[in-house]
Amino acid sequence: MNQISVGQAGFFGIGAYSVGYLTVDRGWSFWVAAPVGIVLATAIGIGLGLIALRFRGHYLAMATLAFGLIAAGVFHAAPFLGHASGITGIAYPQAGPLTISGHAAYWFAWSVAFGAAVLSLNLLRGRTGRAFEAIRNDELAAEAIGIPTRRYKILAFAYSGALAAAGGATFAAFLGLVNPDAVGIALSVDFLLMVVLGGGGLVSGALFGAALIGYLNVVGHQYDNWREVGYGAVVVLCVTFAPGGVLGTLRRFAFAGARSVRSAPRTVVTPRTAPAAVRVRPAEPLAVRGVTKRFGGLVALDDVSFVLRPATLTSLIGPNGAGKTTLFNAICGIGGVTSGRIAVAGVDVTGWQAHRVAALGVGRTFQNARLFAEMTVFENVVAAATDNGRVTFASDLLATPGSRRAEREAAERARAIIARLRLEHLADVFAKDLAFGDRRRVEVARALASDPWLLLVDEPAAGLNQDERERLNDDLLALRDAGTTLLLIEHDMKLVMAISQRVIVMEFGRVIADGDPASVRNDPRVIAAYLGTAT
Amino acid sequence: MLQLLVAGLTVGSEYGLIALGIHIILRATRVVNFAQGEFTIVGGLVALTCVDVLHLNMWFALAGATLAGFALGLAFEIVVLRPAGRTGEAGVTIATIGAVFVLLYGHALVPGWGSNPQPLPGFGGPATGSVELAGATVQVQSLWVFALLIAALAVLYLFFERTYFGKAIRAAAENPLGARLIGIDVNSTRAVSVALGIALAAYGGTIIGPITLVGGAAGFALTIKGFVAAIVGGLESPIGCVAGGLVVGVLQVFLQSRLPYDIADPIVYSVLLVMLLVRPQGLFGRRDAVRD
Amino acid sequence: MNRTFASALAAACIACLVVGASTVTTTAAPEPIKLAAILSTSGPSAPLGVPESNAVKLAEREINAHGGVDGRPIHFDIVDDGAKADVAAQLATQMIASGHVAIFCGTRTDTSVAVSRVTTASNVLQVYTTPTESVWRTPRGVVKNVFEVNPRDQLEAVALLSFAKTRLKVKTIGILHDENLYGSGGATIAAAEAKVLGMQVVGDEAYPGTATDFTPQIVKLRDAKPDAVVLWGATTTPGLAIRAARTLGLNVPILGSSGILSPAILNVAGGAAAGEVYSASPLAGTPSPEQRAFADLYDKEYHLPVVSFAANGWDAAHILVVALREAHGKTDGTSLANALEAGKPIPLADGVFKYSPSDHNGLTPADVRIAMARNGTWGNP
Repeated sequence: MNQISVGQAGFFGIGAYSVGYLTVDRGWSFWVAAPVGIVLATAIGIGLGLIALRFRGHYLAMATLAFGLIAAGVFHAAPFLGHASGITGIAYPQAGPLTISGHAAYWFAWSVAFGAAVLSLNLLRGRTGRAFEAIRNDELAAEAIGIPTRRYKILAFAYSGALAAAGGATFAAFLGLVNPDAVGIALSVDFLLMVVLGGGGLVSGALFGAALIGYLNVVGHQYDNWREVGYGAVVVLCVTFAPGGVLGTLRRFAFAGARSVRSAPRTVVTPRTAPAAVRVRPAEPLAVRGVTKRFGGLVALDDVSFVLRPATLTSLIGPNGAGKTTLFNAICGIGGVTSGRIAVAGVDVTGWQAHRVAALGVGRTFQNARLFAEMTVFENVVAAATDNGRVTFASDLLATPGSRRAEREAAERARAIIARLRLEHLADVFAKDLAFGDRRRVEVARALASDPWLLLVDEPAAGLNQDERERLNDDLLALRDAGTTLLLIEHDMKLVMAISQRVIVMEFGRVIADGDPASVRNDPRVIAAYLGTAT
Repeated sequence: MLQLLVAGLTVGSEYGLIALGIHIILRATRVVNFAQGEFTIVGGLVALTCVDVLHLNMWFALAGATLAGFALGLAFEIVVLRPAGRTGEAGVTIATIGAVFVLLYGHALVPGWGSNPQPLPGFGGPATGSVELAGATVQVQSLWVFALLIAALAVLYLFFERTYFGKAIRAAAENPLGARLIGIDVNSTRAVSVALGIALAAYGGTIIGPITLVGGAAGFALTIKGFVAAIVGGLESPIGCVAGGLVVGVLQVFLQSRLPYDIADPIVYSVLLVMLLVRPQGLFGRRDAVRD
Repeated sequence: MNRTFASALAAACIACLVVGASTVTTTAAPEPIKLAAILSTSGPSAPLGVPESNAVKLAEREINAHGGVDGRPIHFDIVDDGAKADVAAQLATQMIASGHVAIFCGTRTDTSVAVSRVTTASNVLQVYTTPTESVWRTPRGVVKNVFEVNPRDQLEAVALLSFAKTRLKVKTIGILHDENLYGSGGATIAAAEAKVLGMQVVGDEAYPGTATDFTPQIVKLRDAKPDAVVLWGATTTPGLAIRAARTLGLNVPILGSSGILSPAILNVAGGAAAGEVYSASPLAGTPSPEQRAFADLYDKEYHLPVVSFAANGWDAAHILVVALREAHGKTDGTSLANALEAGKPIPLADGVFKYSPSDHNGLTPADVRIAMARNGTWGNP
């Protein structure tokens, strides 16, 4: 999500103070105190994540800043945390007869850091990392392919809280003290500095940045103020000339174009889920009953009702502002409805979040092709082919065999869909580099990757040339024949009349005609309202 | 009560000016400037140099600091914000944090500035003078702060509402593409906006200087108070920013008068969080200005 | 998102740096004797660390001009910890590994505590200059190799409050202090000593080091009607507190810690308008020959008046050298500590240090004198 947290020191402090208070004042062992601190930080991270869901951009940065400041304030004010003096006399951890100090402490601390790095790499390389990347690129589209964005955002806060607390616990144990100055807002700023210098977005970059700053703090001791001025100047230069930080920049030169996920198959695995055609089809893929949606005084949808039959292609037409896209959004769980019910495959989904509707088997494309721009075509499709509904955090973190198998299966499904839509030659191209027509088709591929019963397609033909339209035409009909139910918003009447079995016409939020293409074409209301004005 | 109110409004004026500077820069460039407080400190120090080295009176020192702030702001935009802006919003924000390091540690290296806060003489008399007003003792310098705050706001209002360039800046902030189409040089309106924001910081640092000392490591704390002020008043509303500053200043002083400092201060930050949750557009902002 | 993660990782990793340091061991060169001063010359404690650093440089030159340690010159490596305890600990590890035989650290209590762990483990002598005895006096007993070079808060508090009680007839006090380690530590001790002397503490207010407004604190203290106010703080900020007190009509005597004994504070406070202000400090009153000599040197070199931090730095350097001289060639922590604990009086700028196995502070209330501000300058009460 590419957002900055300015409150990381708060979590660090929670870990450090937990170890300080519990070992010194309560006489607990480090091995109990540190996990307690980490759990506490995780819990608070979840809380902060819940709050942070409501913000983005500047406001999110402010919210995390407020958290860091409040945490620092609490550390200072809480009577049992020693006020300004903090807690001193924290003992080195004991491992049986061995006191972890000196060289042992050195190796212990590094193994904590590398352990954290390995877990983080597992996480970021797997489904979770891809979900983060998708959310960072386009949150709405991520929801539409079934990624529970809220859960992932909270997860990010909880996990980073836990990591920071682990760091804080280690810090307190080996330094022997903790005080408010050591975990204040200045530390959050130092963390940012490390991340930017090392390479934002890279696990190794963060480690490297921390080590680099730590090293420079010691080696550059005689330059006092100049050293810090230098850090600042390098950050400014880094942002401008080497946004990847030191490691990111090195990596760019060393492995130009390298990506962790490639489309070439490594091992061939038979997909375990069967294709949509042979699954039991719901009798009513979509039922819309009396749906009304108001924005303030404006009625965008007015008592809309219809039921789609399985494996049919229905077009939704109407002048601009008739409420077609609003209806799509309502079906997908974006924005909600004022009254009425929506059922997908017989399940009432009214008021559901978008990712749950998607997980039920609703795919969707957007009017202006919302691909994940910074991801390749293959990654775009894999992100949707992943079983996004399941919580896989723990197994991803440990890279369990189950998690790896799920990864392989998702890759396999993605390859199959890419092949079906004849997009193999584009698999490793970044979405932002695609031609306009290809973007639409990739979006369709992504929408199909989750095996939907119901596919909502918003103006797929807009901006396509004749050739591309025909190919799209074929693709859509093939999908229908394979058993998918399609609902299409389209302005191209020729296309609509050629491929639709049924046409629903909307005007001012109401359905004014509903029937087969021929009858709709001859309906006087439609001619007056829509076709008439179109000529 | 009146005593505390005057004290709150005095510190609030500084917060308000910082918040307003943050707002002006945000509007023009979509950047949240974490270095605003540091520029306030540097502005005060420039005034100190004007007084100590150039032997100017405070009025010329104020003009000198404001002009220096404007020049620094231009340089800041051209050297830091503009190049960093090509890499995205998060990148520029981090670049402003880089600028914090340069200014915070850099000012201690300047001969005559150092790391110790230093006193500035007062406007129109000694910095320590006070008068009795309705039973409260009011520092004369507080009155100057209010007057100079109002003067600055009036000048800014006239600039943005009455001059062609001011209107161009507003147009460019609202709709950069449209502004370009009607022939506004968006690059220069951005640079001037940032320069204005920084000049305001330097101005604020100087007018409060006789009361608070200038220099030292207080810059980041000021930035944070500026953020609180901006969020309380409304990050997207100029009047809101100033009003938010005054509200936060008064709130802080009243809280501290009832509670120990170390409890009062976190409460002020909790207000930031609560405002973000309950009314992110601020007390004076419009609802639709929130999403960003 | 990745950034959030990365931040957290950096956090996890900083712990490594606490203990990670280059362990390149070089044998100590025969001469000069290598000493280390780990001070906070950048960051929030720079106003304290810079004068200390200045004084150490001066001390090194003077000591070498007078024959060093038995003919061997000394050399101080002065390094900056940026007010970060983890950095200080790493620097100490590095300095010890590269043959520095004794360490002066440091400017802050947290850096001193962090370093004391390293010096204790390596049995290296350490001196520090914060007025907090908790670095050498821990719940587990006296830390053998760590010595304090500063009149403790307690000595200052006793001197100030006894003076207030006997000379000023003060019965109730209000306390105003910086919320940092120095200020809150001093305030706690002052409150305890006041009770011992039978005075009543009617108010206790803190201000942040970056405070610009003191109205709430002063109004609360004024309304509590104390006979005097004890002010514990350093740098120039206490000057603003005094100014606010006088402006707002809190006109009782102000009794400051040694941190306020500087002309700059009186200047900020409004010169003559500062009213009745006292400070308890070894530098107060008629200077001893040692103090006068140091003040002359310091003024000649830096054109600055001596503040307590400079005196502390000067003394810290000298204490290390005295220990080396008295230990007759031995440089391990135990031998150097034994040499200091032998208790030979050491007259320096902060007074006459007389350490013992149970007292690693070495000063007595007699070393702390009272100064009074009059017409904008400090003098005898």
